[in-house]
Amino acid sequence: MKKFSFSFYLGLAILLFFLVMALFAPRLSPCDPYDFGRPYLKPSPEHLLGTNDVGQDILSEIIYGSRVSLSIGLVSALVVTVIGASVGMISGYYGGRCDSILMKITSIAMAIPSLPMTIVLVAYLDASIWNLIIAICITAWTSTARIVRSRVISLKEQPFIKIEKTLGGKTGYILFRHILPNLSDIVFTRGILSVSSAMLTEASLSFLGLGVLGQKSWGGTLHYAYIRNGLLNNYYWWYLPPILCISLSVLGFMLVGSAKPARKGESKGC
Amino acid sequence: MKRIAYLAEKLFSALLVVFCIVTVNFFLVRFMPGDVVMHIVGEDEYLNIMSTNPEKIEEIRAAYGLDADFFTQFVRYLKKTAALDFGSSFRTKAPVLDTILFRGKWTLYLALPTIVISGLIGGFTGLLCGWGEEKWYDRLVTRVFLLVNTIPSNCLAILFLIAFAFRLKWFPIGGITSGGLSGWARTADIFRHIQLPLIVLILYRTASNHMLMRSTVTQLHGEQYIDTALSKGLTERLVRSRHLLKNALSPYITSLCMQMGGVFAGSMMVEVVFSWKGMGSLIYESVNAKDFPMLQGCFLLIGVCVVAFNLLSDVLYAVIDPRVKDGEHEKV
Amino acid sequence: MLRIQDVTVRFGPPGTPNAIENVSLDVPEGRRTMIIGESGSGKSVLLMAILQMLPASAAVSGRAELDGLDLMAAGKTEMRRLRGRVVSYIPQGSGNSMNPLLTVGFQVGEPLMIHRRFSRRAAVRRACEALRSFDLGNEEQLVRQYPHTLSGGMKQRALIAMGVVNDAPVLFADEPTKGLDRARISMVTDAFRRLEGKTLLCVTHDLNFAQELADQVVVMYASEEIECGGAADFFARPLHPYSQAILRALPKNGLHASAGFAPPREDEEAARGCHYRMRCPYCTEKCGSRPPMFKAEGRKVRCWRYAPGSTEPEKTL
Repeated sequence: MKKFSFSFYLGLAILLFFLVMALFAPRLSPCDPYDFGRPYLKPSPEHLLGTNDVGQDILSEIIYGSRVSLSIGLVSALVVTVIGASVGMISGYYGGRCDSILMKITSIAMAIPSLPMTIVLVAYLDASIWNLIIAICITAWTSTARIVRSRVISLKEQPFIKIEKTLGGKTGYILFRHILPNLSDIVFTRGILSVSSAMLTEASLSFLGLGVLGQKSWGGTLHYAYIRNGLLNNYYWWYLPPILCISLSVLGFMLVGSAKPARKGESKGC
Repeated sequence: MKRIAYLAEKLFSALLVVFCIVTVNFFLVRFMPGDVVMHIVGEDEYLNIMSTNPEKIEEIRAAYGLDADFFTQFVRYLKKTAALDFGSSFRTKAPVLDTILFRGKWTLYLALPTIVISGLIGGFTGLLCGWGEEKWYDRLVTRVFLLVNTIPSNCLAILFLIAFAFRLKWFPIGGITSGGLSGWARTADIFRHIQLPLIVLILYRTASNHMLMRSTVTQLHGEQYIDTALSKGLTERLVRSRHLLKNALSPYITSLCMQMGGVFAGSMMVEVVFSWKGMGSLIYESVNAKDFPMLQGCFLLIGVCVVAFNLLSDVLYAVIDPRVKDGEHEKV
Repeated sequence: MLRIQDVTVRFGPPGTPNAIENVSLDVPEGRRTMIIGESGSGKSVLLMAILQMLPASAAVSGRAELDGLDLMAAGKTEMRRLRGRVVSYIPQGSGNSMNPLLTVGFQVGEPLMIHRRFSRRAAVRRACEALRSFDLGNEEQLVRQYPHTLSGGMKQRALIAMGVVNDAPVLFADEPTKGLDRARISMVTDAFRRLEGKTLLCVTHDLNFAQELADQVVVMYASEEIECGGAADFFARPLHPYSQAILRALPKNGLHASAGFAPPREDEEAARGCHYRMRCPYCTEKCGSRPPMFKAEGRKVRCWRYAPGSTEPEKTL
């Protein structure tokens, strides 16, 4: 059993907290976040985090917002990781012309500035949740592909893979049974980090008013707080919670993603 | 010889990327739901013409060559783009290029000092902390910067705006200048306004530069040639400045160069929060006004800039690292 | 004479096994001493410990006296001045032992710039001469090249040149034949032969290389020194069962693989007594306690079979 560091468990706890929040949003939120009421109420026992410009309960908004933010983050990361890992594996394993074509595409996609590209795409497409995911994924898979490729190239030269090849193992079998398990650590790390970067992108887009229409998200709450002068009037209950939630969840994913098993005392082999 | 082949290959792929961006721009308009003419003249204008003079739509279509086949349209579009003719904005009717250049200038005022200052500070702290890995100052500085990295830049900007501009009133709230000033007074006023967004950007960039430099240095620290250098009797300082720095600097400079490429897009969120009228807020305004020509122009300029500086970083890499010359070292 | 006494190194917290344990040996002046041992036996750690180049987390104790000066007690600055001037370290040429971004000439001449304040140009000129004394060929051009253009054997010889460029009387070398083919090994061997009058302490697992060069041989096994003696005697008649096993396994001695030629066990039980007893064909009850170094036939050996008054007949080879 691997032992993980404290920061890993801290990250895990944060993620669990938000996951519970998203899963049980209807149970947990005190009000319907779409119900109108009296605007700009300060935090009170009735509205723990006050209300916004149209009198919606902010706590409920935040709780429901975790659903959009997390689902976009998780789905995009899944897509990005699957695409990136497949491209990396195919390109690294087959090599040759296939590799050079795929890597050319990767380096082109890498050179296209990602945030502007995403913004332009979202501006043209309708702001549905799927379009947002597509826009986020279209440039984000490249770094995973590169890392996986270089690992596969070094794995391919390892004796156990070569033996498998000489024994006549089918390509698919070698890729999935022998290479993929050896990639699991980097794929996992890249996947987790992709979640946080996808969530960051979503938050930025929503903040610019390009988020999913009619759905609550953290970035969206911040967007309204910003354009409806929530900052100027210092409605801290409005702008602070989404900032806190975005930052905390990104921190959570980062802590989990960058955790290495706790070292058992260093040794330098000579 | 191999160095030239290496650079030729890089140049070719740079041109390919620019071509891709132009193509994306072209197809985005053509494949969007709705009439293409609407996306070219703008929604309001389109509805206006529709109600008053429907035949004019077809005239416009012919004038823009939209009745021609796809290939002809594409070639024409490429020619126009090559002549730097991006059309005019839906919103202001002004030529796109003029607006972009004007706004771009203000972004540069923000972005250039950021890159220089954060490049220096981040590189220095990263080098120091990477060398003294796990010492108390490394733990402190790296943790702070790690935390800064987890906060999205717009959130950090908002927090700073509220704390230092609204509450403490140390800085003006936003914008570039209070207006009605000229000469030195105006310059001084702009300086007052630029401080806070600059601080946020520098903090942000320093954090990521620090992380980059630190991880490079900790990796190099285990290299055998560092031990070799120490075994010759070099002082730690000399090992750092002569053997380590040179090796750590090439990936760092490459990365700074790429940051230069992202100069127009990098400060977008911060610009929006501080209502700094640069490229970033131009994109923001254009998105909300569905001002597509402007958006495409911005995207193209940003893309070209990124590509150009990527190319420059490849050139620098070839100059710094002798292994590139012999085609031995593949950049990962 | 370099006297190494009771050097012990431990990585990690107290209680973890030592990387090397109470190693004591005398390195005679102007002679070549070879430390033989398999990977992980701790032989490279010994060199790094004496040069004080182990990571700060390592717990190091012991003495290494060179002409009355204890190297391991030297202060940081003092040690730095000794490195490359009194004791030179020759790293192994395979891998990244030269800075990829600096020219060969600069790196070979660097000790002169540090210790004798040579100008860059003078240092490179001297580096060129040093390289020439090892017949690398085309030295004027070589000094301007970068390390990646050198082959493994060239790099190793350039590193030897780097070690001697400043006339350090004592040389430490770490696995100079690692990763080289036979032809290149003979070039490196030749390069070492030219080091007349230097005190050489060289770590290797290449027995042929050791036999070619050594005046004195030290065998290390599982963090301990187990045999030490003159090279001629050692190769003619090894004393320790482990030494016998490794020499028997050499092609010229008939390639006898034996049970004794196996990696050490790393469990606690193995650590208590003689480290080799689990593999040893001559193991007796006595071996459950750790043997000291016994003197036998003018050599030193850590085996109960050579205890004074031992009745066991001395079977060898």
